[in-house]
Amino acid sequence: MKPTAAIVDDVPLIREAFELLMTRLDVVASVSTVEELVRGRHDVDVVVLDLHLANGGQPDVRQGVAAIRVLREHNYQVCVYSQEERRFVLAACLAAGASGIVPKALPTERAEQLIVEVAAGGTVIPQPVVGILEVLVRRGCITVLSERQRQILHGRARGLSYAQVAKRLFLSESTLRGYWLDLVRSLSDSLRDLTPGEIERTLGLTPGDLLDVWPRGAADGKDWWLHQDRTRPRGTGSA
Amino acid sequence: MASLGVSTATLVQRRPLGSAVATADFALACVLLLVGPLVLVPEERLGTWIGFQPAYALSIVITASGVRSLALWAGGLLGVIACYVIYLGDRVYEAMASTTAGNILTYVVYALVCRMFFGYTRRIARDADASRALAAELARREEERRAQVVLHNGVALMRLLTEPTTGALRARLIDQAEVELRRMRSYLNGRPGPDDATGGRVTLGPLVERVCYRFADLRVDTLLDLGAETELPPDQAEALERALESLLLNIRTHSRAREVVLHADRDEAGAWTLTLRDDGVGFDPSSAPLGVGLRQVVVGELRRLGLHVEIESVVGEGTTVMISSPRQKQDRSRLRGVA
Repeated sequence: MKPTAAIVDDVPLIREAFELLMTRLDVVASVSTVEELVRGRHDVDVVVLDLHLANGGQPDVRQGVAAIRVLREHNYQVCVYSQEERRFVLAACLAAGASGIVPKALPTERAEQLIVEVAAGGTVIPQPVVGILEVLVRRGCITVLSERQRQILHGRARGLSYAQVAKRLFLSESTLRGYWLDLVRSLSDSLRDLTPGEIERTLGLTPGDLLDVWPRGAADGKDWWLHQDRTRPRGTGSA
Repeated sequence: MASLGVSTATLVQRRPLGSAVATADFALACVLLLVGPLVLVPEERLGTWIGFQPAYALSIVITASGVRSLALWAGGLLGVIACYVIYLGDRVYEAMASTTAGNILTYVVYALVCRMFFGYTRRIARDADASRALAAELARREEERRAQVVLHNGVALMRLLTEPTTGALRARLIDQAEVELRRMRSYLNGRPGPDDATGGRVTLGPLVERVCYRFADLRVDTLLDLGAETELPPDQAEALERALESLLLNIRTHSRAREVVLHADRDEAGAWTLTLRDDGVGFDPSSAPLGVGLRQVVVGELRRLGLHVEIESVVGEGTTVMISSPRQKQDRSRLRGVA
């Protein structure tokens, strides 16, 4: 049985292509806004979400972190599917509760595989975000991890597969995937509690570097992304 | 006169005069000993300045011990001893018998000691010749290795340039070819490459980013925050840059990898580790010997500079290469156990 999915993207052509190309997914909803998806109360295993949804036709819709938060409030598993590659923006998505982040630049087959993994309850974290998490842990900004979790993060940050890390730690792959899921949730929670200033200090960034990309709280998520959208040139709404 | 003649000729030639002269020397010593009784009364033959023949014979035994032929040396020694006994005549059996025996023993001992000295000297000379030959062979291999290191990436690039590629990739390949061209040219001119001339220290982060920029088609995920500020000596930096180029070329050419991760780390003691991981086809290290690129440019060159290199690969599961600076043993164990 195929996992069910909903696609949220402001470009109709991308939604149609998604339904046609992602044959291992049963796409039961295809909408342009998260508000529409929530209204429809669709029961799906995963919501595949584009980060940038606001455009000339729908200028005030939720997008980005705000969209992820709304979906999480309605207990949807969220897999971000975007061309956004700035690692701090992707980390912000993780902090907002996304279970997976899949670049649109990936080959369709690979992207489909990763989305299916998220639909099955797994997590897909881009390597640059894993790198940020490792730095925050190593430099004492996040202290909630056990020694075993640190070892897993250590291996995953170096690009090792689940199987390789499991073999090195004498664990089964399924056990390790469970550990990894708990680990990512724990790190997402910790990330959400950090302020931009703390992250900037830990990563050696200039004060203020993250103010434009990191939400300052649950209430201002929507405004932050609206601000981002207004600064983007017209015609980039399909990201 | 004979002694002076032999000594002068030996010094001029800077080597012993050979078997013929040694034979003549022994013969002369024996003749002098045999003729001695005809010109000396018995009382003057032993323990006097007039009877010089035994001492002259001893000098011949010493100097001729360097002769190569064992038979000639032993025969000459026995001949001298026999002639010495004849030289003494009836006095051998008289009150001077013990002195006579002592003198004969002196001939034997000096002959043996000198023989051993000359043999030892010859062995040192042989070892020196062998060492010189070994040094020449090592120099030849080192030159061969340098040529392989310098030319390997260039050859791989030329092969890639012969294949049909897109405009953007071709442009990057041409940029890289220009770098390799400068490197090969400086090698052929016998000068260090342009990267060597900096004289300063470089940091790991910019170095890795610079190399990855040339392989933008691979979409390498670079996680360098933990080790980006690590300073490298120029020779290590240059070798590391070449090694990374070679590794990424291998990935581009052979691995069919979907994801490539390059991770830098540095511990509190300043020891750093660079991990390059791809999820490509991998290879079996036990059955597939490393190519020139991995063996010479990566493993050989980096280890020569004191860096540690570990290559792990499994068919179908990709390849992991760990390059690290020297560190405490327990730290390396920890790294291997986790990563």
